Amino acid sequence: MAVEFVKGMARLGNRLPAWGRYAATVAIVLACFLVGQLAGVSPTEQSCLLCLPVILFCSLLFRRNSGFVAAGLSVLLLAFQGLRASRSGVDAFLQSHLPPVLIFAVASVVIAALAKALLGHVDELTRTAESLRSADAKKSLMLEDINHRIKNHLASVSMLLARSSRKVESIDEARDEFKAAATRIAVLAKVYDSLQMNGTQTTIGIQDFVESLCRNLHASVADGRQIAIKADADDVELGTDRAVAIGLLINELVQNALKYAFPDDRPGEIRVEYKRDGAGWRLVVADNGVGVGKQGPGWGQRLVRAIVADLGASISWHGPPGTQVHVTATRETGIS
Amino acid sequence: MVGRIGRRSDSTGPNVLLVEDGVLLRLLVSEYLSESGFCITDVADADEALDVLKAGFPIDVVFTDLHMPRGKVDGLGLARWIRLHRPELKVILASGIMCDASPTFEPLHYGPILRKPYDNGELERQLWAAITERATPPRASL
Repeated sequence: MAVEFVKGMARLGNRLPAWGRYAATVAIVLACFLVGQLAGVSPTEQSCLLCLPVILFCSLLFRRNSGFVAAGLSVLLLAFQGLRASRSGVDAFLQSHLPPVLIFAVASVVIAALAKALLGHVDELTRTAESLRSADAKKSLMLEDINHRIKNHLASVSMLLARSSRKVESIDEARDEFKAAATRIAVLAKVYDSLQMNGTQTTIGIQDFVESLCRNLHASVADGRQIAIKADADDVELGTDRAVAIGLLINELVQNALKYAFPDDRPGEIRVEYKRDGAGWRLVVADNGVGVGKQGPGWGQRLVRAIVADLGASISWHGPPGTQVHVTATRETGIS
Repeated sequence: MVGRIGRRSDSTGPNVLLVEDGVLLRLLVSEYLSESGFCITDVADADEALDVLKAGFPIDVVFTDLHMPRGKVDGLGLARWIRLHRPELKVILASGIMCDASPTFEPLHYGPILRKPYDNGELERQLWAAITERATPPRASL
């Protein structure tokens, strides 16, 4: 309640410019002394009953250093009143009026300082409350976004597994199908490791994402073969959908290389690059294998073509020696 | 102009326009429905779906995701457009977000809503139901 009252007063005073606040402070203090004179109150009553409340009022209403201005002016006016009342001269003033004026000066400065400190705390509390509200709203948006993605990804996982179960006719086929499904699911899962909130959108730091994906691919797919998978990605933030698309592309292209480029367990290296390129970007998956070039019309290739189209990009195969797949987009179009 | 994807399967079955912004899910659903005998045209967002519909592609049912941030309109906007311009088309919606089951929830006015992750069989049943309903002319009121 008290905080609300102070905030309400502060809002009122905040509408005035700085000079207006000081001018209003001076006017109120002068009016207070005029009222005191007209009412014929004593200097003690003047200082305690009128000046101290006015100093507090000005401090809270006009903020900045208005309290100190009110205090200083009140001290001067009280001293002037005292001097005028001391008909026998300065000595009499120093003896009888100066001590109460000094006590009043100290009390008024303390009140002005306390009021300023109180307002500082109120401001800090207000800022904290606002930042908590904003963090809460951000969290709700992020939860909604993640919830939507999880449901989409679960739908994909469910369909992937259903597809794998439809396609198998032998144990070997089943193993290959479910292994391929598992690596695609792993790409979807990896997204949640690198998810960040950027404004109201979730984004992915593509450098960490690509590196982590390549480590994962090496561990789960290379199966102890002497094949290195090296990642080199620019440190950029991508929208989650685009990151998923890039991740799925990398997964398919690396899997192709692992499957066909290194027959007879020969050692080799696969390089994955994601770079900014002018207004667009470039993804390169290159191997130093036997140079198999473009693969046939399998489902993985359909997925690659669909992703490339969704990204508004183009794809080209180069080699031998080895195979280099370039996916390039000249503009940031398609999935964001 | 038809959108940049608009892939169309070779089946001669009922024509389904599939609108889904998740590329992996779109491809998987498209493949499953093609294998189930539907002729699928798949697009990545509602803008492309509108292009397909305005271009006069033969479509019997539209199966669309509700929440598609990409494009000028989302699934709900697409359903509204269909109700206004192609009321004979049946619409089935999919959503990953909690849906209000009350009759005042607008998307329910346009067609049934499948909750993601949905079951293949349920999707197929809903599509056949929509096609059967479309093929049965409404009885004239007396």
